[in-house]
Amino acid sequence: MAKRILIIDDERDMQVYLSALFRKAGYEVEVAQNGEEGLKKVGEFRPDLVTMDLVMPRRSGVIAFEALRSSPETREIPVIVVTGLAQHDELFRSDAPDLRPPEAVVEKPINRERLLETVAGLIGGA
Amino acid sequence: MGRDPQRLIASALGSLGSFLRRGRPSRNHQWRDLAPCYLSVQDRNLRIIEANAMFRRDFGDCIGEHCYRAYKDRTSPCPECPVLKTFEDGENHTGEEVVITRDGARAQVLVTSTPFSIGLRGRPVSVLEMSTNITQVKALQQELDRSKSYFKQLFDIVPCYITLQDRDFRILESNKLFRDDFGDRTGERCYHAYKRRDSVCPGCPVQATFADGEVHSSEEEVITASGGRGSMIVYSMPVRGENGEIVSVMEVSTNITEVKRLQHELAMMGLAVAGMAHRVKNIVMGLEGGIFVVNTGMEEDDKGQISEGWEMVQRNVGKISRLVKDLLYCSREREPVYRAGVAPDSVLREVHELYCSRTEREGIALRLELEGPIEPGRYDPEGIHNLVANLVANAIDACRFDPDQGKEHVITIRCFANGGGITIQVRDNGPGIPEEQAERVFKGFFSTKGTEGTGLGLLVVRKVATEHGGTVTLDTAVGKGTTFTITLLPCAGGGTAVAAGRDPPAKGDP
Repeated sequence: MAKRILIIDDERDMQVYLSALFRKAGYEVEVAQNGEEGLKKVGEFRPDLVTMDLVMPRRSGVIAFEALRSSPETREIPVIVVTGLAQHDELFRSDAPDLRPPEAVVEKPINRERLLETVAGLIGGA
Repeated sequence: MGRDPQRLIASALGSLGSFLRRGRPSRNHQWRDLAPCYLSVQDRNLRIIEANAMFRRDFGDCIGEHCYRAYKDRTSPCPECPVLKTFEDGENHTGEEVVITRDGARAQVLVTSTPFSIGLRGRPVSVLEMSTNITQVKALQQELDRSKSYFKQLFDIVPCYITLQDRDFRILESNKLFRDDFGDRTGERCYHAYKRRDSVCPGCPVQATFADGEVHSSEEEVITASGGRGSMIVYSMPVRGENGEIVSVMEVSTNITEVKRLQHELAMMGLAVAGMAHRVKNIVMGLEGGIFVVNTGMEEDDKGQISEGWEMVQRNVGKISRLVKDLLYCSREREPVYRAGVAPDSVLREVHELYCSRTEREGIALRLELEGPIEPGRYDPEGIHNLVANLVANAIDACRFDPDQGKEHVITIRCFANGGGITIQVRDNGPGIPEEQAERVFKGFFSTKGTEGTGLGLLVVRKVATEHGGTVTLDTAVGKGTTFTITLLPCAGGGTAVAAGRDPPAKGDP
């Protein structure tokens, strides 16, 4: 059975691009438009990995990340942060000092091969 | 200057006079003739009774002749004649004269007179006059004065602030530029004169120079007499006395405010270029991604994916064309197009209409407040449209990314008449702009994350406002929101003008 990836991103480009990329690599993909929807879909879709942007309207990225890491049911799910910001480290330090940082941070513009290698390194190939 | 040479000579002459009076005649002649100055004894009519060898050599054997005739070929006594004064009061007198020798050479002399023989009533019967040739001394003194005034002039025309300071940082001397900008602060402490401080500045270069005798430098912020602030590069160097000891320190400060401003601008430009590179990179990624999705769709014969990929390509082409448009707008490429009879309120209505559905989708209320009659005038409608649209787009981004989730966001476009022109305000109750970022917002490519603007919006805003002879001000409070206030004046002339009517600004998704 194919591994499942949940993409949480408010930008249509990223939704389309990452979906196509992961789907082509053989993963099963689901998309959430924002943090709240992402948290809902984690329960329904039960992903093996989550990719997310942290900077989304109303801080929903950071809030969703904290919620994922805080719940016993979801805290083990590896998270890859896909972001355009270089100062992502500060976001973690100031917002969630006690939480385990994301397994990987991928800066935009994304490198397709490297992103797929990172995903395979965390959950194995599809 | 040491002791007064005139007084020294006068007292020497007094001694010589009394010596000559006391001495035996034969010995007197010897002394007189050895003296390296002109000596003569004169009667009440200024006739020369006796003269020494040097006098006779340069002025001839002129016994019986009037002094003024022998010395100057005059026919009457010189004004301020010291010999006459001595006849009057019996005291020593001095003066400076120019005399002409037998060869026609002019010499400057220091004349001193003293009573020589005293009559029965205690008044001088004859006066001894000694004239010392000071032509060379005078020439040296003039040379000294010239070089003094030359250096003083240099000191004053140097385009930097120069002060001489003692160990207590007291200003001993200052140059003209310093006095012009800081006032005459002689005797005041440097740190107070330059900075209105009450104690020495940390890392003071003058202190360091007094300590080690080396040249030191530092950068300082100073306050001029008129309250203006400036950046200075300060150099301090020791001024040494005859024995090599440091007697004072010269401090030279050069105003580098303009250099600092340019440095700052350059740094800002660097940030702007980096911001632009980042934005272009993201658009390129969007295009690459779109192509990837289209290709994947074609490989898998998936029409849905092809169409999604194609839309992505289109979106990013749209982004890059908006970016280029804003760039051109900010550059000199676009001349404002002023039209007569433009009603600013109708431009604002268009912008409001354009963004209504967008804000509704985001749960933001977009209000339009038009106060009082707003007179039509000669404005650049497309410019105003762009200006307001950019501010509204920024406000939408601000509200969307507001961390305060409970807030009901409102954006207000307000317009009212202001003198002969108008004031436009765009106010949001979003997160506000932190102080450290507020300065940067007008510098171009200032963007946190946001999908509405191109990052150049505020440059466009400022350009349009400036073209209308207006201003842009920003009022922001973290957690409370941001208000941009723009004043615009109708254009009297200039720019590209179109007679009447106007084309509506380009419509479409902003």
